[in-house]
Amino acid sequence: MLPGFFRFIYELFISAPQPPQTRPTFWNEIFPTVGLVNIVVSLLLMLIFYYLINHVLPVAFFKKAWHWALFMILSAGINLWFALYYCGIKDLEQNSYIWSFAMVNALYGALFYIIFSFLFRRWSRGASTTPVKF
Amino acid sequence: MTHTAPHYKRQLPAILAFLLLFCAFSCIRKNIKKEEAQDKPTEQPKTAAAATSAPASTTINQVNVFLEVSGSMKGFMPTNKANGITEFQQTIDPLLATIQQSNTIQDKAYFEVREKPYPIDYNRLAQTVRYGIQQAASSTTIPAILDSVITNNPDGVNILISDFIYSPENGRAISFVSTDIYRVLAKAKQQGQAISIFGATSSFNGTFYPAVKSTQKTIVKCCDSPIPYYVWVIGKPEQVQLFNREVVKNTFPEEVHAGFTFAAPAYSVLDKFLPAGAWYCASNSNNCHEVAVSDLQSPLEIIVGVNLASLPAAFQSETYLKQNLKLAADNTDAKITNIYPAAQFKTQAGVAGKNTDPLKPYTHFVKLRMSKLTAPQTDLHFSLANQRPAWVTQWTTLDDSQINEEGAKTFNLAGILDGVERAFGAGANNSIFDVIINLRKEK
Repeated sequence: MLPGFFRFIYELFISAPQPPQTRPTFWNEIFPTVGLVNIVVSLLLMLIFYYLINHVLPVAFFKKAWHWALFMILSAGINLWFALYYCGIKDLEQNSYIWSFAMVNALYGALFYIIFSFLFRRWSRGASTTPVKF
Repeated sequence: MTHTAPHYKRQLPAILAFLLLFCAFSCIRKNIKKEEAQDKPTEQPKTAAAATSAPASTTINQVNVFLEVSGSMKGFMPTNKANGITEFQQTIDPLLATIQQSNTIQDKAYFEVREKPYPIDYNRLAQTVRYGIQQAASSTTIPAILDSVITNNPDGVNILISDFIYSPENGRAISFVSTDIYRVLAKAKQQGQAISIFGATSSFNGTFYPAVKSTQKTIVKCCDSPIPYYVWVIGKPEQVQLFNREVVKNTFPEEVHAGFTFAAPAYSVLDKFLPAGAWYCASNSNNCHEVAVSDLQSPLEIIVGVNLASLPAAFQSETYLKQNLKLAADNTDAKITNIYPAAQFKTQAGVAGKNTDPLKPYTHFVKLRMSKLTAPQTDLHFSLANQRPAWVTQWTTLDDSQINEEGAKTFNLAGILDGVERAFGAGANNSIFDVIINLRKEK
């Protein structure tokens, strides 16, 4: 079920894996692992931003929208790197497909971070209205 | 109290979200574990099968060597030393020595075949091979020799060295040859024996006794052309295979086999080498026997590695494989376009420079091409036909009375082989192996 879900969300933006011979590797190993790591990483970054920096620690200045955006870019960056790194582990040669997959993964890194932010921000003591109040 | 209840309610979605993620993560872990668990039982039988198919016996109890010493063999082992030694002597003397010294064989016995087999020790037999037949025996018919050879030592390996020139006493009907051979060897087949026949030619320096005596009964001071001789190895299939592998090796240029059942070779589709078109391996295990086809916009090219190391050398030759490895499948136009021996495949453009470790288990690589699949799925059958080798026909003559003009041929060799094949049920319809690759359209 989960491999199917990740395959679906990645293939919304990119074609089926290329070259075709790598499809089982992508579908059964790379998409689920990288996707799951993506969720964990963006969740972790969200937790660090809202609940470590702006809740537990007495930091009052790091709650602006652009601070929050910094963490979003960090999430995208980490997920871009991890996608490339994990494809390397799986002995795949670098090609344009792996790069577009990494880019899409970065996009989802940012997206998951945004979704988690809006889901969980309200209990943060210091940043419950970051990035925007509504 | 009134304050805490709504606070708790407000936290609920967050807790739920956490639980959901936790569940998802643990589900994935379980799935991976399940897949591992599923993979293991499918692989274990394979390794077990590989272990049992490997020859269990590493020794042969008893090897009996029968050397025909009739007058017709004297030309291979001449007594006059003027002309140097014949190829027969060059080949058979070291072969006998290898048998005598082999640690694989526990007991060795040697026989000279005159009107019947007479036991003789190794040294005396080697003397005969080296320095010629002193007293030629009157000739014996091949079926009679074969019969005594087979009944003598049914559990060991019997080696018969002869020129196999055989004409039935009523020389007019050559089809009797195959019937006679069939009758004798049917007994060997019943006893679960198999047969390997090795052929070679040798210079011949003596009197030739043709099977067809229409013009002359003997040809003295023969021959200008080489004369074929044969080594028949008869015994239990696994022991004959062991003997062939350990002792015979590549001694003889030609060979033919009957009565063996060969274990299916290890094989796998290799998706990392020279793939073309939209397909991928759909097997879960390491050996890919299932291919999924995504689309057929461009023709597919697939490389299949096979390990033929356990087959006799004759079946492994590139020419034999190219002629006799057949691909049969319904609803597709899949064809074998090339067969590469391992060394050649590794030098192909697109393979050279890559990590060739995945190629190690295989001795040959078959390239197939297809552009059509009209059913949701189909099985590609790769079978190797047990075809009679071409040399048998080339070495056959139906009139050896003018052997100098005929060249290196044996009277009615094809007829003898007919009898062998009939006895063992071998022949063109008989395939050495049949392996399947399942091809299906991607769902």
